[in-house]
Parts: sequence; structure tokens; C-alpha cells
Amino acid sequence: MPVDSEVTIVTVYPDLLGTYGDGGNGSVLRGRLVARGMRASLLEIRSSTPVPETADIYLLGGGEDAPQIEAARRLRASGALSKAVANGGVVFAVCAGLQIIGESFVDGDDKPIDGLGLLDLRTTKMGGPRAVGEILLESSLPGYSGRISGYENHSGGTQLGTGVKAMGRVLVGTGNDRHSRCDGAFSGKVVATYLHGPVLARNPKLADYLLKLIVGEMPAIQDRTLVQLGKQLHGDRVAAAYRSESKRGVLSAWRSLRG
Amino acid sequence: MGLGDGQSLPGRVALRLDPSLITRLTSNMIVVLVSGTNGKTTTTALVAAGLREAGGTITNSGGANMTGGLASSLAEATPDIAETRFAALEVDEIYLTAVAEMVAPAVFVLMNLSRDQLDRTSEVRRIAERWRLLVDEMPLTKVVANCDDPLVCYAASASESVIWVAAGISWTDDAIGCPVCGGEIVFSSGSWACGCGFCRPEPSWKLGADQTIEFPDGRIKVNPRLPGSFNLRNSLTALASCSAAGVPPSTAVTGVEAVSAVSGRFARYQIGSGTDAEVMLSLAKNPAGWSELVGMVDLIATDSALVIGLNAKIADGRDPSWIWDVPFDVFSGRSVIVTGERCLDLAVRLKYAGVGPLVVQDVYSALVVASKWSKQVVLLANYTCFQEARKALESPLAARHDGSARIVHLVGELRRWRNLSRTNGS
Repeated sequence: MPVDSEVTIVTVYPDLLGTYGDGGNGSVLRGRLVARGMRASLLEIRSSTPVPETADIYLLGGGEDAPQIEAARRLRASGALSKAVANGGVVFAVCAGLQIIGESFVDGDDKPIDGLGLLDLRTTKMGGPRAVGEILLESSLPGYSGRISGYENHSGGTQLGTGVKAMGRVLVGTGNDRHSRCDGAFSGKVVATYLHGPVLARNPKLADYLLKLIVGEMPAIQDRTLVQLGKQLHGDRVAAAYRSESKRGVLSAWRSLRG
Repeated sequence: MGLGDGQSLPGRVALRLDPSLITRLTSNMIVVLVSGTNGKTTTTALVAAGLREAGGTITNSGGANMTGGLASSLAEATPDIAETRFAALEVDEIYLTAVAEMVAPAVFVLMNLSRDQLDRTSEVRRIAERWRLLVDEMPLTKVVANCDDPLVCYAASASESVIWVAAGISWTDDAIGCPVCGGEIVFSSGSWACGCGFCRPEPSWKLGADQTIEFPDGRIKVNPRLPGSFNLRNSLTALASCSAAGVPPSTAVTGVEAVSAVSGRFARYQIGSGTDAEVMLSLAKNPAGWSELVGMVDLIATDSALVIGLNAKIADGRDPSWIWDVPFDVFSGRSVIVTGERCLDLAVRLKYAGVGPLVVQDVYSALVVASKWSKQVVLLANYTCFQEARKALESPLAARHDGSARIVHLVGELRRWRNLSRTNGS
């Protein structure tokens, strides 16, 4: 798209999916466009409002069980996201959002619920304690090398089908499940992850990766405070992930010593 | 630091030795239990002050609000317990049932329910269900409930003796799903309703014009010393609660008005000795509380230097993602100092909200820098950051703020900030 046209970013159902400050992802995307002198509009589409089909970027966040099921039901009924993807739109889904855009996930009683089928992945209960804490990935996104930092808090375990690749390899934390050592998934312009924080505030490079899928190459941001604060926070959280891992290591060593 | 003031340990031991301790200590008292996500410490202090006008009152000041902390507070007050008529106790939302079963309360005060630290507390809807069962099982206990909060209404409406108070709600994002039918609750012009018929009950206690409080048999003017509109609403809830406990507003209001600081909240401290710079400390623990405070600070402290502090220790919750839900945009164009162990998260958050943040990691250093901007400083902080600030301001080291350790630290922080913002005057 031409650099001078307006990019439309939609936060999908912030009243149902926004548990982990996920609305921040929209603010970051818009902020990084505006800082480049580009035009952007950020629409918060509550669940009582129809989701537009021709926006550029769609954001889905985390949610509790009941609202997650309600969001999946409404989105399935509307079909807007599938049409948006067919129109070339970007979808970036976090946590419950990841589960919703897959083929299926489960409710509190392990009953399967249909997802939107935008990504070839299925989510069931992971078993054991919730995966909670700092998480760090090595990116597997095409043309994106580097680490991605976030915070995870989920009990679902996600299996990827053959139609998708993981978003990253897990360096610290849990990710999709306890075995695969990978997190999230992507296919074309649809990207999903368990990382919140919000993840785009912690990883400006990931924010720019998503923007590039829509606008192509972009000029550098001139506001140095914005650039440096973003890098500083990223570095701070990368270090925190390694610190949390060494603490976990000491704990598990202590447990194994006690038998 | 990080686990609170450590008040609950002696109480936990005592309860292990004597499980009926709390029951015995409160058996002759009129007990008011105050619970909710936000404002319960302040409201409990206001209720205690109001009840004290009518007789000896014990309370658990300091936020020790689970069973162990309650036992500690009660045990400390033991010598006076014979003369004590009232107990005003703040109780953690999750512990309300356990405490109620121990003390047979005369009054429940149910303030509001919104999500607290994300990685610690179970879903708010489940707490509402638990409260609902509780008030149904205790029909003799009066329930003072906030009619503006749908989840509280859902819980309280199971009781036969509810006193509805229009205590306001500033955070509707958690309550949006109807607790009765799962449908959408629509908020408009001070009221709310769901299509299924579940709607806001008519309050019998509400705020009138010009700081008056209207209640079934009269009205009274109240001038709380605590700042902000939410403290006026806390005073409303407190007077309704005192009234439910048998103390009329005309008696209780004197005590309620006199409260000026609650466990350091809204307390004012001098920054270092020999200076005339003063800081007011304010505390918020979750998005709802922060949204209230941000609004208050924007209204009353336009000339003040603003310091915002964020830690993420266990007592704060390890995941501060919710700062993106707080409307920091109201500070747009202002200069703000961010501090605490997660100051960088705050800095990025504020930057995207159009606020120019200065990063000073140490909270006391941040206050010292702010005092150079303005003689009036306001600190907005979450739990452990607030406690750190309080401790630093009360400690002898703080009194010598020219102490070399502080200066070395401060210089380092300033250098770090200059490196961050060298070419950009934000």
C-alpha cells in the first residue's frame, strides 16, 4: 500500500479479550506509525459492534474462559476475520486470541469449542500447573532474527498442524506446550503467540515486522527517546527472563535434592 | 520487603494454637466486615472512625486482611477488648466467607469487584458467586452494597436486608458480562441494565449536590479531609455502614471527616530535612485503583511534580501488563518521573501516551529530583513501591538527603537518563 494512506488497526472485542493489557499492542502499532509521520487509526470494536472486513491489522488479546467462548461464538457467526484475511489483512492474536483463531480449544470441562480455523492448530488442557512467568523466544518469523520477550499465563497446550510454523523457539519459559519448546504459530499474515506484556511494547521489532506486512519498508523513527526506551525495555526483559530461569533452576535442583 | 509488613505471622501461629481465637475475641462486638477490590482499607478506616464516635472500636489498620492478619490485630487490642463495642474489619475478598463464619458480622460492606493482580487472584465472577452464597446463608447480617457495580449487586441481591449505596464505579471492563445471563450490560448516564431485566437497584444512600449525603430519613453535609471524589464516595459508604451498625450519620460524620491519612495513603511527608518540599503519597494496586488515582491527581495536582512508581514483587503481582489499561493519556504534555523496578515498562507506556518520562529507578532519588521541579510532589505507586517510599521518607538516611550514598546513586541515574534522551527533548 502507498506510504501516505491511512493504516487501520482494529482491536477486536476489548470488552471480552483484553485481560493482559493487550490493548497496548494497538497503541504501540499506531504510535510507531505516527512517529514515522504516517497516518493510522485505531478502532476498538466492542462485542456488540460488527467487526469491519477491510481493516489492515486485527488484534486479539487474552481473556477468561467464558468471555473467550463468547468471543469465538460471535466471531464465527460474523465471519469477518476470515474475509479480512482473504482481503490481505494482518491478524495478530495473543493467548486466548491464539486459541480462538485455531481449529479448536476446550472449555472448563474439556469440551471442545470450534475456533475460527485461521491457523492449523488445536488447543487442549496442558495438565499440571499453569504456565506463568517471563518467556523468551528466538524468532522463527521469516526475515526476523532476534529474541522476542513476553509474559505467559495459560493452562492450555497447543499442538501445531502441518499448515503452520511456530513463531519462535522457546529459550526460557513454556510456550505452546511442555514438550515442543516452541511458541505461537504463523501462516502468511496471520501470527499468533502466547506472549503478552504487552508483547509489542516489549518488542518494537515485532511491531515493525507486523507493520511491514501491510506498508512494506518504512522510514526510521526520528524520536530517539521512543526508540531507545523501547530497546532498553526489551533488554531489561530479556535479562529478567534469564534471571527468572536461573531462579527456577535453583528451585528445581533443590526439589530434586529433596527427592 | 515484598511480602507486606509481616503482621500476619504471629496471628497465624495464634490461630494454629487456638482456632476459635477470632470468634472469642469478637463475640461481644458489633462487627462490620468491609470487602471489595478497591478502597477497602480507606473505607474501613472511615467506618472505624465513625463508630469510634459511639464507643470503643477496634480495627485492622495496615491492610492485614486475611485471617492471620486479623488475629494479629485483634490480639494486639486484647487489653481493651472488654470496653470495645465495635469492630470494623477489612477483609480480603477471597477470605470474606472464612472470616464471616468466625465473627458472625452485623454488617457486610460490599464495595466493588474488579480484577486484581492477574497472576494471583481467581476470576472476579467466581468471587461474586461466593459472596452470593455467603449473604444468602446469613440473612440476619445487613448488607451495605454498591448499586453501581453489577457484580456486587448480583452477590448482594441474594440477601433480604440490603442497603443500596450509590458508591460509583470507575472501571466497567471486568463487569461487562451480565452475571445472571452472560449477556451485555449497558452502562449509560450513571445507571446500567441488561436485556434480561437485571438492572441497577435504586439506592437509598446517595450523594447530593455540594457534598451532601442523602439517606432515607435525612441529609447531611460531609467534608472529608481525604482528597478526591472517590474518598467522598468512600465516606458515603462509611456513613451508610455506621448507620447499619446502629450509629447515626450525625454522630459518625465527625469521625469520618477527621480522617486525614490511612496507613500512609494520602499522607504528606517532607522530602529531606531543611527543605520545604513536600510529597503526598498515594497507593493503587490494580487498573481500577490506578484509573481513580490518575483522575484524582490530574484534577487536584496540576502544579505538582508527578512521580509514578511500579514494582512487580509477589505482593504487587509479577505481571504489570495492566498499566496499558490505565488512562495515563490524561498526563499528556506533562513531565513525569517514573521509578521502581519496572520503571522502563512505565516509561514506554507513558511515551506512547504522549507523556515525556524521566527514568529514575530509585524511588527516593526520584522524589528528590521531583522536589527540584516543584515544592509539591505527588507520588502514585503500587504496593511495595509505596512502602519503599514510605520507609525511605521515614528513615534517618532520608533526613540527610545530601548523604553521599544517595548523591552517588542520583548522579548515576541522571547520567543514565541523559544517555537515554540526549538528542531528544521530550
